[in-house]
Amino acid sequence: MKNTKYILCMALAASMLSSCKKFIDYKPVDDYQITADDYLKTADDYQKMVIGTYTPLQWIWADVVIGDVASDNSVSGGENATDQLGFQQIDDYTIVANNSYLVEAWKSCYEGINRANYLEENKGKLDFTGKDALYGEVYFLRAYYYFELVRLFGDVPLFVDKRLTVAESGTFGRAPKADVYTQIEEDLTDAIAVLPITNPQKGRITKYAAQALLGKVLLYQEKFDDAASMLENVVNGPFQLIGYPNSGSFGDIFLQAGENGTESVFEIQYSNVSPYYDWSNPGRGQGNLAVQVCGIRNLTGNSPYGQGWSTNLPTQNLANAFEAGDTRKDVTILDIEAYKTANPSLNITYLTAPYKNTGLYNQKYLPRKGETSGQVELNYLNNFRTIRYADVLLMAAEANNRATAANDTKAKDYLNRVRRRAFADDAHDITATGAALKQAIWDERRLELAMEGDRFFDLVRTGQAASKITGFVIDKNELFPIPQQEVDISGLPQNPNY
Amino acid sequence: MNFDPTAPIYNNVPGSYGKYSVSTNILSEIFNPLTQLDETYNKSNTNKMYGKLELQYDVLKNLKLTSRFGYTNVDITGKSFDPLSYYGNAHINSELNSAGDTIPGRNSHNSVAETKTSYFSYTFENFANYNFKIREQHHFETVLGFSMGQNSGNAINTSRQDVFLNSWQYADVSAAAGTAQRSGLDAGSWQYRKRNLSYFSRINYDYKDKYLASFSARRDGSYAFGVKNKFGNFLAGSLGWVISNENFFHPKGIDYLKIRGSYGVTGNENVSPQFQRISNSIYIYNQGQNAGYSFGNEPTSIGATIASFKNDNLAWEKQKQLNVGFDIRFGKNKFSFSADYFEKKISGLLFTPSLSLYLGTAAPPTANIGTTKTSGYEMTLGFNDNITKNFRINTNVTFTTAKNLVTETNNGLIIGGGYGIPNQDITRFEEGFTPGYFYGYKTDGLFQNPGDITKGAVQNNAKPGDIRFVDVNGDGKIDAEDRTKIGDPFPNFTMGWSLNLDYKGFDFTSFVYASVGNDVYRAYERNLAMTNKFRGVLARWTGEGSTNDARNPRYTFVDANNNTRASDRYVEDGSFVKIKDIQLGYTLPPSLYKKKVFSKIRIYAQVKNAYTFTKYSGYDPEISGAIFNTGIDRGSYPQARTFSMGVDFKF
Repeated sequence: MKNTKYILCMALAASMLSSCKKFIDYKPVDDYQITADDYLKTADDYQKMVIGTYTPLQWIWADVVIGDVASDNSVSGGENATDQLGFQQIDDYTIVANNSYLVEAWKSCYEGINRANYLEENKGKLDFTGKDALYGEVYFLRAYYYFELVRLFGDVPLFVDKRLTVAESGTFGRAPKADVYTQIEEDLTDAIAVLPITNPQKGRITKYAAQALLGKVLLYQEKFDDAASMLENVVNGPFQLIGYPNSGSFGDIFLQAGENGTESVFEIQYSNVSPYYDWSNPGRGQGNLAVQVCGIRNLTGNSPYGQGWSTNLPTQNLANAFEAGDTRKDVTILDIEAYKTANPSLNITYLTAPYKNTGLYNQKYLPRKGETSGQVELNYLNNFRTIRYADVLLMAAEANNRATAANDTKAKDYLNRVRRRAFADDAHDITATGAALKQAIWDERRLELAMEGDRFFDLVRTGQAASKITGFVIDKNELFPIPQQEVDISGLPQNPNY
Repeated sequence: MNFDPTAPIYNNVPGSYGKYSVSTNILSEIFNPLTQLDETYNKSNTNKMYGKLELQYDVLKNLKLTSRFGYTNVDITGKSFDPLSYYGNAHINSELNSAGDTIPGRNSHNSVAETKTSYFSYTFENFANYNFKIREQHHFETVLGFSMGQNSGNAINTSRQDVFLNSWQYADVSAAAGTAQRSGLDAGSWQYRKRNLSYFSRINYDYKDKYLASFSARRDGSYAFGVKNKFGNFLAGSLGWVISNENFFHPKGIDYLKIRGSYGVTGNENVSPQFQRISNSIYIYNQGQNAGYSFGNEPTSIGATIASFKNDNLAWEKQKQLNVGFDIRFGKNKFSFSADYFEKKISGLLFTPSLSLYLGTAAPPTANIGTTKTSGYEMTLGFNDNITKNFRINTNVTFTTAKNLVTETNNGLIIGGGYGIPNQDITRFEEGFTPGYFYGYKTDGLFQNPGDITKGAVQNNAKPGDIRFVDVNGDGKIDAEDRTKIGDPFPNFTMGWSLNLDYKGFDFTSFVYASVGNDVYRAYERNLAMTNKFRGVLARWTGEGSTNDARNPRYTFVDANNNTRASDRYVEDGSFVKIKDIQLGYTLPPSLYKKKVFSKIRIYAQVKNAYTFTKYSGYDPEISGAIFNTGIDRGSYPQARTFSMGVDFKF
């Protein structure tokens, strides 16, 4: 008996010893985890990775709010001075380097860039039908993310070859703005070469979107000749202004039915079809949080609007900028008290915005009933109309007006197409030329694109910021501060005077 | 309490729903804590089973084989219920309106969730003991063996909406009528398995109880590390010399003297494998792992992305400790004294580094971030005597002082200890400094008038009553470059004092602990407008000359000067003396009870955490935590003062 036990023990011990090394092997598949080594083996994997490259577009919803709150178009509003603190700081020009919205913009754009770079890194691994066009989308997205970064922060770290690894942490400096723009132009040129002019799936990036973005990027660099010819491609594209002299009206653009419509060149897509609930990072879902933040507080009654957090409130200054007869005013701005008085049958009640009240609301992106689901605050379906045909016309007008060989006839034509739609007549056409025409185009941009997130950047780009924005400090506020963590961890120099 | 201080406790609005009030000032995010407490339903049940199976076989007289299998199994079932609630008309967590009806268009549902979680762990050890003597005086004890172990866990959970009557009584997945539309996830699961393996040996030697030596060697392997670094070798040895057992050693008054030294290496494998994971999730919003996008009005397209970084170089964290010291007893063994010098070096510290934000939002990997060194002295003085036949005393005082230093960093500066809205980092892991020291602005009183502001360094947006920060780098402006070391969470020294007294049937024990020189960062203050404030706000600056204390600037909702930035305003001396334990007992004389039934009956009264002497203004200055959270007081729950009385029976 004793011997049996002894043998048993020894046998057990011996068998264990031999299988020991295997015992501590780890394969992620043991925990049902997919790793990078298992991936990018089929065309479908590539398709999915490209979708993943689109995703961070949805996270930078606050950039659109910043573009107006930082300008003379809107105030931060909110519940009180510490509600949406990031927007309050930007509105008050007391911006600190850990501003949560700016940090999120930085992180999200770089996540998008790294996702695009991972596809670049693995471009040669597999060939499949449609690969070139698919990579056109990737290059557009990378250009878009870099453009967001460069116009918010100026010089930024620049890398394109591969997804960065841990070893690259802290190894990049801030590349000059000009180099970043060169890369953006290169990416968009590459994208234009391969992208189709239409895509059956709505919201996908097309050749026109890339041309329009390149035109915008050239305009920001004051390369007006190139911008004019690039934008001409889009002006002559299959787009149409919604409203006079065509069918529909300006307001239709911003309704659900107007998404990805005939005026749409590029839209950041959101939806309410995945009604997920997650407050852990509320801006990173499929819904558009910028819609919720600008809603009217405690709104009840039978209006088409849902309630929200009274942020990003249009200023009276913006309201006053619209001429009489401009149909865009009522589409852009909702004067809630006037609306309530005019529509007693709707039984509207609401809470006056508790902080920085202007009485005015951002009607283009106001929450509307039935357009959200699940956790209602997080799931508004409203796409950002990121590049509209009207925007392209105004950019083309400006480029033609400011080109080496200025073409004011063309500039006026493009500008007046936008104005005719706004006033539904030809009586408000601009006849000025030269510098006066330039100012008219700039003013028109404000009105046409108000609350769509470009105002601050236009004011900076055109040198008007200091004269139009209270609190704006020259040689400081042209750029926002880069995240403090990036200064501390990566050793990047902060922007001047922060 | 984060809630609005002006709201009543109970709901006093006639005809409106709810037992407790809602705030008219704080609208959308902060709860009435009483409602929240009232509407929280959780239940969990844990079954634990553990055991051991051991086989021993004496092969020879001095050779013993042991095989031991120990296991623990834990099963937890849990249930939680999230009822329809009313926290105010515009509150993001309200499903009901003030009338108690579901809010139209809000998609209001209650929900019930159930979970089943299991943990199973085992260790299987096999070893041989062999003891032998050489020429009677040389004693050897040896051990050789190996062990393997596994820790695993798995869980499955499910949830459903629409519980009948919005009531906990009916809250069960089997009885709920709806789906889980709001969360998008009505079922989930997770699992993990951690394995390790060790070979070990040890040899102990003594010669006539005068010379002592031991040596051990281990080779440990862990599933967590990369292929090249799976195994770590850990050696340890110690030497001792009992001088008082030597024939030549007869000094008067010294009863015992031993000199000893030891050096050993141990390992830490508390980490998960770091690989490059693909996420194809459209559910997870945080951690930058979401990869979905919605084209047009189609259902969300599922995308994919890299969700984590890999670290193939991940290796064992090694702790090397050196100890040198002596023990002495004198005065007829009544007094004892020990002194030790120790040096502890932790290399390859396992921690998540701070990576450049431009690396994107994938989860940063755990890495071997650097080396820390702790060195210091520990001394213990004891007294143990029977003063009279009935009175016995035993008391010890321990004094420890140590220096902590980061001696090497592998991943550059690491910052952490984040708190507040917006998040601010307060602690740093940086070469040449204490690990996790506090970093921020230095304050220099308050600006009393506009003239004060124009003097000295430029500080944007400051107004009278705001804090004046110190221009540490002297460049004439206050900016992030002026941040510096503002505190150190480690004490200069700690002391412990234990006392045991026995008198006849009575026994008394107490333990007092003191920590001197440890800083605490007060990180629990929320700075939201309209919420409750701490008492300190009563001492705020109210006009020129009212106070110059940087802890009490003017109170303003619009904090343009950023008075709430991380600064020494929030750093306090956390020195304390704590009476941790007092116990008084009385053993009943055996004459009072039948000795055959009870061998001993003792009644006692005890107070734990009886009192803390400290100047710290928060709840409890004793705040432990990992490197980046030591001394950061986020309002952690203080250690409870416990009173207890009891009776011990021994049979």
